Amino acid sequence: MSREERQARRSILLSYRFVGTAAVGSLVMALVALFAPLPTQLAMLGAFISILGGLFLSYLGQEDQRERQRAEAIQSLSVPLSLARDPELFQQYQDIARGLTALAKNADPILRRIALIKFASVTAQIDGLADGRIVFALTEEWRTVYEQILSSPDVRQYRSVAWVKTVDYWQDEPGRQSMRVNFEAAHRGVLVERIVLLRDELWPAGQLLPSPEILPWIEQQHNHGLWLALIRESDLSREADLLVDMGIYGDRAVGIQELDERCRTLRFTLDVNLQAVRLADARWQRLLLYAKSFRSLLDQRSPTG
Amino acid sequence: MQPTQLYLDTARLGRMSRRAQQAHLDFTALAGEEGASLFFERFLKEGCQGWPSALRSRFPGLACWQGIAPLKHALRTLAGSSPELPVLIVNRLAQLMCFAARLLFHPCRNVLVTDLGWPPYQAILENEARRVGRLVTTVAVRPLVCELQTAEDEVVEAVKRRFLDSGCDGLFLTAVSHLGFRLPVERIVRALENVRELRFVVIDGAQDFCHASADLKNEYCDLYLAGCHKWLEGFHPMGLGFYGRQRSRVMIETLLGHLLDSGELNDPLLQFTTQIETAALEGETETVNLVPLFTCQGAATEALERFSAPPVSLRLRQRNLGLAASVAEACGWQPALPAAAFRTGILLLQAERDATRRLSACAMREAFAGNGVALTAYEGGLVRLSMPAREWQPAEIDHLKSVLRIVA
Repeated sequence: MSREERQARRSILLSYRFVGTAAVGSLVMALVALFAPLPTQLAMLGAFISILGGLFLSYLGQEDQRERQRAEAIQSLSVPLSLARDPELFQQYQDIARGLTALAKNADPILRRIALIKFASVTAQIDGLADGRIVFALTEEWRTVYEQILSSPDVRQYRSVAWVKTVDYWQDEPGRQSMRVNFEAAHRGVLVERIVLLRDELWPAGQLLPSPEILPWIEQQHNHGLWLALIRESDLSREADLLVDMGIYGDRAVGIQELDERCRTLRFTLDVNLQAVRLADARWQRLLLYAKSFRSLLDQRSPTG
Repeated sequence: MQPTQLYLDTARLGRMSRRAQQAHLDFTALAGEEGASLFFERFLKEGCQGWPSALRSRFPGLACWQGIAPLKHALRTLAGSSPELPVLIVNRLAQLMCFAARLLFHPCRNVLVTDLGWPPYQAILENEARRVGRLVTTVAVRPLVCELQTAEDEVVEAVKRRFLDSGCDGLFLTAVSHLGFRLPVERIVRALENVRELRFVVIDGAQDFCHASADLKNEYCDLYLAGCHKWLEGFHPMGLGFYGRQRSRVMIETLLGHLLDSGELNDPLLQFTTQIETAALEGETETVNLVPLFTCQGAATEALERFSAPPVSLRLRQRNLGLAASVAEACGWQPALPAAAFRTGILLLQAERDATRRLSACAMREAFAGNGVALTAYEGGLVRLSMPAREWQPAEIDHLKSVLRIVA
């Protein structure tokens, strides 16, 4: 047992502070009792008791303050404690905390202002992630996530709505790569179903099949075993909310792609939550009411094509 | 045990036709002389077209062989379809069934089957469904089919109801069950297509091809599975897959190519016949037993000569079935006949005596074989007799009567 520990365990009646203070106070009171009249003695006693009471109340106030500070400190520690169970996220937390600590040491006011604006944006993104939403803007980077989801062994069904505005749709290299991932998924046993929304110039009214510019892209998917159905865009004129480019990954996530007129990605939003899947499923069911199965169209084609 | 006098068994293997035997014998003789020479390889690809007459007369059984493509033409004609359409030729029909299961579950969520299917094929389908997390739904049609008053419409309606109620979108039907019940498969497919999209249709025609109703001219199914070792009488097992429907032809070929490339479908005969047709014969393929090709060609040639109108031979078999059923009734056997619309050339009999019913399938088969009759036996005193495609000879029917009486 260390010296400090032995001291901490000794009775306070044996401490110098107690014995010294008690001895001095008692001596003063003894002198007052010997040499001063009774009213003076009473006044002296009252002053001592008041001082003691004041000290005690001040002590209680300080103790209350200390307790509050202790509780706040413990609460701020609870974030890393709950994250500690998830090593990957905890590592991210530590990296961010380290960066913030380093930033706090930099006193430059301009840097500090810019950093605060940037952090507000990062915080908004983290809040979105916490709600299960990831947004990719003006980039094809989303395809990496898309491919990972399709390759995930627990996704056994993928329903997609492709809103084809031009013949360029998914014809660039990232698009072709994503299509290969679709085919691999289908060959692995994932049920891939796709509804293709086509502008009327790509599937003119009265024509059995879409125009030759887009037909090979559709046939290629069909030949790899994907189930396809087609809808003319004009058939949805009264249901504008169904004009969408989306994917439903099993019952786990929904991805919505926004494209410009040249079929380049403006934004891809991935929602990983059940409510989003339910809403997308309802949209899918409504789209099915307008859809014509590509197989049935092929059945109607004359043998010479 | 005496030699077989009446062969009434096509459950596993039919008898070998005369032309198939000749092809087999002459192929054996040619192999003895040529081995795997270049001459033999050319013969394999082109047949004996360029042979001198002396050589032709030495191997008359091989005169029918003109190469793989003409064999496929002949088989396609026997299936009642355009000879130009493709046919898959495989060593093992079970491999083809695995391929069919893969095809079915590419676009389908829930495949409807009946309780008349061949159990090992149903098992393959269910395994694939489990692997990819989809469903197989069974509709019980056997009790309906076995009621003598049932009409085709009732069975079609029962299948349609189940199809709709269960949300099915794929179909696997057995055209003729191993117990001899025929289903109106084309009518069923059309009825289902009228109410909801059928994404993929596979028909098991193993007991149907060259026997009952195989008629693919209307392109009602995406894949039709058959074999040449049962009713075609090629004897050497070889599986056949007929396809070519507009909507699924390229899809089947794409998936076939993928499975062959990845090694998931590994059938040496399929690879060999594909390569020899496309003239892309590679030296690295597995050595293949070619005998079934020649016996199949012999059997197909004979079948085309004999079965100019397949329904005629079925009617003949059914007439024979009627006679055999009435004979059996008088000999202690109960014919288990389905309603008229579902009959084929297969007669199912059940022993009336309890003691006979308690016999094992093996003992029952031996009891018939011991009296010169080859047939298929099942537990519960059931036997299956495949009717011949020519009229019973009086001696044959007398022999059958006496054996039925002995075993009963």
